[in-house]
Amino acid sequence: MHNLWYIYMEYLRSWERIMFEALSKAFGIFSGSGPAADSIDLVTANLQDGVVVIGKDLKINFVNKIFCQLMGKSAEQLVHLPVGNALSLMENGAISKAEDFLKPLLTNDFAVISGSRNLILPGGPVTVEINARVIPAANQIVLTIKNFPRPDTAGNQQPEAVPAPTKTPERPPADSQSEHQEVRNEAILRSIGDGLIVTDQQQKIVLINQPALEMLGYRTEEVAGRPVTEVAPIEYEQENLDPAGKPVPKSLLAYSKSSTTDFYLIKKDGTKFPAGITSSSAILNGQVIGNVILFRNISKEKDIDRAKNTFISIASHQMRTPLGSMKWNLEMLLDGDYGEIPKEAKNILEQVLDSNKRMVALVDDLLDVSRIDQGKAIDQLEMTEIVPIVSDSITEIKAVAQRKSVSLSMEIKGNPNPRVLVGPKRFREAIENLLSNAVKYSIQNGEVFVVVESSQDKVKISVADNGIGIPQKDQGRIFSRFFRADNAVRSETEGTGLGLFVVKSYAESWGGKTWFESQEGKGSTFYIEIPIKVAEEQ
Amino acid sequence: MYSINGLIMDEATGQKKYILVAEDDKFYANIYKTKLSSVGYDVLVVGDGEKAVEEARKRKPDLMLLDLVMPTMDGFEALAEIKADEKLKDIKCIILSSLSQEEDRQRARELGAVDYLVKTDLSIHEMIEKIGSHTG
Repeated sequence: MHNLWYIYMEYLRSWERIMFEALSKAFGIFSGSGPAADSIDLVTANLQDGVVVIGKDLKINFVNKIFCQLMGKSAEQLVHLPVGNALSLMENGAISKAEDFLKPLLTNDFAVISGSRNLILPGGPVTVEINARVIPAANQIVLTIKNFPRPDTAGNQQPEAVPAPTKTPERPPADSQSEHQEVRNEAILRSIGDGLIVTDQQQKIVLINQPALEMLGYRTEEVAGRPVTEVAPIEYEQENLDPAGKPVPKSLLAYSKSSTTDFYLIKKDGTKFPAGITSSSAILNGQVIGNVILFRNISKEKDIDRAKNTFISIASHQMRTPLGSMKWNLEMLLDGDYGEIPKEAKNILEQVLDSNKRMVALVDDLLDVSRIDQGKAIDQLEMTEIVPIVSDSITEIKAVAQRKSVSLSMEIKGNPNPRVLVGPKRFREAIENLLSNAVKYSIQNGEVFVVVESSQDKVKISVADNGIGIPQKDQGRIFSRFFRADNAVRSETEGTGLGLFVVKSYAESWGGKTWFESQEGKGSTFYIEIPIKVAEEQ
Repeated sequence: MYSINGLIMDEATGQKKYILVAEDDKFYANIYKTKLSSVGYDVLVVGDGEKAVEEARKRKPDLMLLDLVMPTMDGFEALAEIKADEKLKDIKCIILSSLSQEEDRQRARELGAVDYLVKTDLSIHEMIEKIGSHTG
């Protein structure tokens, strides 16, 4: 038996019988009756990538949940299907079936195919990263699909990890060849390109794959049975603090869901690398039997992200200079500083000034987002009286509202002059964003109603409109950057889809939160809640 | 300070208030020159920080406006040099930049600037008002 399984079995000896049975069953090594694919189910269900296992007959033997979601089909529909019927690629403008793509693998057992390909999904071709390799011992091809567009780029709606295995139909009956199945399972687990660690309830490592060992700089025998917190400690990107200012627990087990940025894993030699981590409980028959942790080195993504932010930052500053001088020159022209201007020309200049201001605002938004991304958006917090800021913002937007005959009103409940710890400038920006959205998506003669409500420990600001509302299908993504709901785009072409992302990021940086209630055609209410307690403590 | 025919004068000397500007963008340079002169200041615009310090030594201004990103010597360096010079250190300096990062504001404060203005945040009138509040 393979070294890894030997260590694993050694470790299991110290376990109570019930745990032994549960785990054994999960990994299909106890007896011939253990469902062979459960271990793959358990692991791949927690992957963020699409996984397909294909036999040498080019028929699909196994699919994970993400792959099913990508294809818009159920596992029942996909398993046993010739792979070419399920997967097609777009190459040089022509459609080619997956068989053609996989051919080199069939002629050479050791070939690995990987790279960017245009995969044809139900919604059209999408560029993805494909990795396919033959597992000689199992006589199978494992194909993984990475980097497809996620439904939510902000990362707060990652596909749910599914602890319970999805059953594949008509699984071949278990036979005396359970050892063959073990080998097959292990080979498939090992072929997962991401780092994989499986722990028991005590957070001790029971299984670790080669990529994980390589990334962390260990050998198998150095880590087996040791707590994962010791072998793979994590660190938050900045000063080991999370955004709310609390020290990050030094265990990747503390994160039940995926996190894609901001974490570093510390290697054996003390160096660290940025890691995308997914950690979830492995549950069998309703019992938590341990944790499955998947991680990958995201240095490359980080570099790209950094380059993008630097680009936005430089480009925005470069754009600000001409935009700013344009603005002042236009104002001087309109003031008559360069001589009298005919009335018609004045009208045009006013329009140009208006466009100029919109561009300045857009550049400011882009800069804000790039700063939020770089963790630089937190300005100096001070105890701020928020009612004057809210009423100022309302006064400022009145002219725009009047053009649409939208009425604005404000009510203060509780403490007439609450103070909270925020960055005043950014607080104003957040309120202005909510107000401008409310007015922008109001119907003619609509009403925008603002409430500042203080209680003992928090202040809640709500901005309600009776405008177009947010369609149900878009509600989950409304705080994502660059996202605009379909009906918003139809009713108002102007807009970057950055406003609410900025509001949410700021509110969270003050220890608060943002949410909304909305019904399409009826209107929306957005809330910002900021704790007062946090403010007094700091 | 008092004003005759819209000119901004120094009460003691009866002379116009003198503003020295360091700005490398020619459009902004022209705006400062035109607008500040038209409201009554005596204005000199130079293209980098080094020349600004040089001119300040020749004739001490009532106020200096410093852009940040400039060739040869940037606004921060010019500000530091002014504040390190016994004869010049009491000159009021305003940073007027396109940059709006908190770190830059902080650095300007630490170096002794009396104000930090982001060009695109202000209308031309607001800019003149802010300058007026520091020359009054």
